Amino acid sequence: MIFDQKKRFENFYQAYYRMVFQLCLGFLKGDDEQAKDLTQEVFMQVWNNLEKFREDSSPKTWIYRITVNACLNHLKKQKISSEKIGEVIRDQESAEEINSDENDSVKELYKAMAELSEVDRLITGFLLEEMSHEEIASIMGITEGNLRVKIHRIKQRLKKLINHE
Amino acid sequence: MNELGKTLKEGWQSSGASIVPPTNMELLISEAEKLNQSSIKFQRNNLIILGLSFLMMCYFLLFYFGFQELLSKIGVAIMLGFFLFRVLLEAYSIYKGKEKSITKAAIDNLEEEKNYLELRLKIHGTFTYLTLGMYTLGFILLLPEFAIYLSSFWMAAMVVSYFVPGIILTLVIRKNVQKEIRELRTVVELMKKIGS
Repeated sequence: MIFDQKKRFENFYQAYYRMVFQLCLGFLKGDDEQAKDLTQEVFMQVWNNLEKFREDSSPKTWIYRITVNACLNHLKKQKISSEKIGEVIRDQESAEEINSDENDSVKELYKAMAELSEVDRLITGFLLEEMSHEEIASIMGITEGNLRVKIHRIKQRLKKLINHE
Repeated sequence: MNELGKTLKEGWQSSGASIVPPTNMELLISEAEKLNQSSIKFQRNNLIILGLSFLMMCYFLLFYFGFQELLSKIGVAIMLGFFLFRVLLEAYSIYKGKEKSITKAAIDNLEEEKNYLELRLKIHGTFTYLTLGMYTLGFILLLPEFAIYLSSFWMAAMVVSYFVPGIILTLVIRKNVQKEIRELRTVVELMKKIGS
């Protein structure tokens, strides 16, 4: 039983690590170290909840749900410790967290993503992973109509940000 | 990519190509298990401490002091009753906390978190102040019988030793309530952002 669980976890870990890490990286504005920690936290939750996973959604959607909730929890903790309620964290910094090892187009992408709100950063990550609207809406818990409005806004904002560079 | 543009997609793919999972999977599993255990342990210890405090109070108030006056007996009943009420509320809050799930959709997870924080706020705010107030009332009802046996000096010492920690405790509770209010505000703010 435990062996099966480990095997299953290992499959998920190998298959979805990149996806989770990259979403965390986009969410954390390219901060590599924090993204590694957050990814680790996500997989710890995956392990602790694996027994309850009944495959009523795809593993990818299930793991993405955990990732989004872990990202939002991280944000909540950060906001509480900063003691500046109402102030959006994206205002605190911009480019300084962008990993200097990345090439220019990647840097530009994370820089543009850093200017988006936290929720929009997550949705952008899903779009870059080419997930369907249905999957994204089910992960976020919103309607597809609402999601389409958000995507329209994100596309416009990203276009502006990237053309502005 | 049809949604956001080819350049962005290429950037995303190139940045993802070099990402490989760390090999320390066993360590990750053991850390996950430790985390799970420590949260269960913390909640269990909390309940054990509260339960033991209740039993100690029962011993002192019911047997050790052996109150004779009706007023004192009412005081003891109020003190024990409200302390037990607070212990049960804590147990209920732990039970509700276990119902939360990180595997739900973001908005549902935040809704659960909001409901849980509202419950914690009620327990840590309204019900804890009510318990403290009623506990103090119970304590005051014991004083006439204590006064029969204790000198004015020891009576004063007992009252001071009750109220000074009581005031400190109230301040600590206030600080925790403020922290939970901030948490609740953040959750509501995030829910608005997802829903807007």
